[in-house]
Amino acid sequence: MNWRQRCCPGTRRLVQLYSALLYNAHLRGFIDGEIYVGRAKTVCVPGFNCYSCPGAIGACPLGSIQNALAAAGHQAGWYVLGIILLYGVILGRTICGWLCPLGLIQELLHKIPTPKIRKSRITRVLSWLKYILLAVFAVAIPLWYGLRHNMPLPGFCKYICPAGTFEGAIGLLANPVNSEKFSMLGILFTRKFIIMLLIGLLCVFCYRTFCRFICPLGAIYGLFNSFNVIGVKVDSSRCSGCGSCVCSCGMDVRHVGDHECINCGRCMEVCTRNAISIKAGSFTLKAPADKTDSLNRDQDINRKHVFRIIWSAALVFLCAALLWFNFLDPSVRKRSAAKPSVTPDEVMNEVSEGEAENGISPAAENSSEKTTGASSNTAAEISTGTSAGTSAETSAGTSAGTSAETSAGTSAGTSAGTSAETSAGTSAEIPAEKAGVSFESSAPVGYEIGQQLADFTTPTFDGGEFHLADTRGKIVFINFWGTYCTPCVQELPDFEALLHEHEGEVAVIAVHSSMTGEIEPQDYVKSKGWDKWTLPFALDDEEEDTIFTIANGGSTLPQTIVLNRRGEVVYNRVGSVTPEMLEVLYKQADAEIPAAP
Amino acid sequence: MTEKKLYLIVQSVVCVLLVILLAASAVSIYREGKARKAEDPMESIYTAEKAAEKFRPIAPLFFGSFGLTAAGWILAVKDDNAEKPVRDTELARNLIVARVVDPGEQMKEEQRRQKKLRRVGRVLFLLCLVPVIIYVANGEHFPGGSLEEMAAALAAHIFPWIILGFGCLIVSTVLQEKSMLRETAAAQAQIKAEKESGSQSGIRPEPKADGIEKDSETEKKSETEKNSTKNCPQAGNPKAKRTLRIVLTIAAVVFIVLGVMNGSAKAVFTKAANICTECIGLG
Repeated sequence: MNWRQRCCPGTRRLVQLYSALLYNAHLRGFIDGEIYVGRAKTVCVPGFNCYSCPGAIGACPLGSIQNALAAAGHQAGWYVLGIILLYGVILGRTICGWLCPLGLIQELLHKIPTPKIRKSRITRVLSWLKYILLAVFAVAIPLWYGLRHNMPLPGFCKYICPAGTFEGAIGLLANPVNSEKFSMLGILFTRKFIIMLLIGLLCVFCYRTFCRFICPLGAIYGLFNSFNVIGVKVDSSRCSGCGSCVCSCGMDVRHVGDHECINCGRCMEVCTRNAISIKAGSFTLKAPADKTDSLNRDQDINRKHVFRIIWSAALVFLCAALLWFNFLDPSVRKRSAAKPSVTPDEVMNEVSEGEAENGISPAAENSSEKTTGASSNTAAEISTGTSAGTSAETSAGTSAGTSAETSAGTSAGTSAGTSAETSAGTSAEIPAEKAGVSFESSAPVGYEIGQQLADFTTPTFDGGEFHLADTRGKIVFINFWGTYCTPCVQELPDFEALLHEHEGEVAVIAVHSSMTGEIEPQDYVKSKGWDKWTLPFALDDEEEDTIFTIANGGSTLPQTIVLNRRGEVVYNRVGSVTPEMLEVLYKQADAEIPAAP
Repeated sequence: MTEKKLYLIVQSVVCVLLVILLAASAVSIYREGKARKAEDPMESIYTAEKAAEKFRPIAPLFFGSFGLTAAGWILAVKDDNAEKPVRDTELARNLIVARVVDPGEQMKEEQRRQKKLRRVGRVLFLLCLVPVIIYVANGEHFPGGSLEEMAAALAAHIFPWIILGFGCLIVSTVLQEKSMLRETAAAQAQIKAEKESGSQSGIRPEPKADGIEKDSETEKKSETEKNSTKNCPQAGNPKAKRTLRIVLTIAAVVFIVLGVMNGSAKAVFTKAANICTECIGLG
């Protein structure tokens, strides 16, 4: 084979590269460090592609299966079942051979020149391991925890899947913008990182190790292999049973087209009887090369013509997808619009003007880093149509800023010093000034450390309201959670305990994303018995994602924000918090601005 | 040792070393971070600076391995055995045995032995799965509390049984293979004896390995080929397959529509767009 022949990728490689690029068409996610949150993520891609990858435009089928099983007690996962059935019937394990990015990565790793471990009857026995992993990690664990404990736990994704580590963890963390997300990592990541390394190493020595021995999705698709529409078919009237196809195959097949066959078509080249071809139903997609006689030559020419048209259409589609998912998609445009458009100086001028009007001294100078968050926050408020918040509170009794409203938002801005009976956890009179201690902040509005979080009002599940402005003088904990998020669900009791331990000193609110799962958050809270808690729960505004936007809540959960008694951010991070951490955060915020004597 | 073999060994060592160093670095970061966190709960186990500090010394090896791989690729160095067809004992046995009209006593005994070994291997494997099923089915082993403890208990209680089960299957497979080799040897001896005796009535001719005869419209299978159908995929009933495909496709479309209506499609979107970090191993 000459250099050109070795360099030039074959049709299957081109299709693999095409599908890998299509599944991860949101290329700007790698630059921004943000995952794609558009509606296209409703669609499961056929192959293995973690939805935490910054480029991923679709959902992972295996992750969706596990999530659907975890929520089986609340809702039948018809959608995921239908998608898997459809892919299985049409493609079966052709997906593994042609449309799976993880399969591509494994084949590329296998190209590293090392001695190779060849298949044997032992590897064929080991190929049954993936069915056990499917049964235990992908089915039993999510189902059990979902039905029995009402806790979502995708066992395979959480403990084993290398795609999540490679595409998600490394894909997100490799971007310097996400350097603070390193704080999330712990024992779970360490274990999965080592598993990923081991699988990668094995793939170098052993062909498609993950596909053959571990992949539960391949195990599922393999069940459809005997009757899928598109795949390798053997003409049994021509087959001599010589077994050359099986001997040359890299997978642990017993015969071509069985549950281990990934329909790659390698066997076509070694079959001396032209008994093997790739078909879509009765239409031949790929016949054995150089062996077609004159009767089939015309058909071959027509086929090539059709494929040229298909390839052209596919390339146009890919270009359109790249354009859409990087520039035109409304969710991408919304995120771009939320970026700073107001300069730090303009923000500072507004602060000064506001303070001058109210006759107080100008705000203390802040560094430009602190103001960038403010300007982006202001821009976010403008772009999302909420009332434009300016900056700091001014003298006692008045508020210069207006609070961002939610869908049930009430009056913009409440004057400090009034008592508004809201939901439990925020109540009582909160004097702005007590014996010389001022809880008014002159920091610019924003979500970064040192900035004052913009005020918001939100209705709570118990029928009350939470006004952030009323919590001046208290240390505030805002927790973003989701019913489908295991660590979120596990840490909420710690917030309730914190509220009880520091009653009167602390205000807490648990905000659920406007994007809800199978069960409504209100129903979930009731089913858990949390409606009897002191901790107030709220649901973010569906149209504006207001509280999430204000606090720079992203598409990763859980997230905790801690504000000191002036409403200034002292902690804003993604990741679980422990009771010890909550206590330390309380003490830090308390030490910064102690309570009034 | 040839240069090619030396290159392959060096490349293997580099790959293994790289993985060991990366894993050791991750463990080291975790251990140090955990010790820091024990003193101060607000400390992060992993930080970008720590990760960069640990991986910086490995970077030359990492990029060196790329260079080594590129060099090997340019020079077309590869394991020549990798692309050779793997000799499958069962396939070879099927081809040889298909030529024997009347299997001898030894062949029959080996076939019985293989059946027994297959049965015993499967039964032992299933028996090893029983403790796994009992453990997994007992809800008390899956408390709602610490998932890390659950995962550790799972690993400790069920992995040994799974390993044992697969061990039994592997042993059974190895013994079956040896029996197949003996059966093949017995069949070859029988064929040789028939040929030497000159009768040839007890054996069938070898199947043709060449291409299709262009004169014939239909390729007629030889007796040997018909008898070596074990190596052939089962054609199955095309009508039944078509019916199954249609039914399942319709069912799939119906389920998708049902899913859109009952909100499970929206749930897929929610979980894909608002990701739970620990659920993908970021924890």
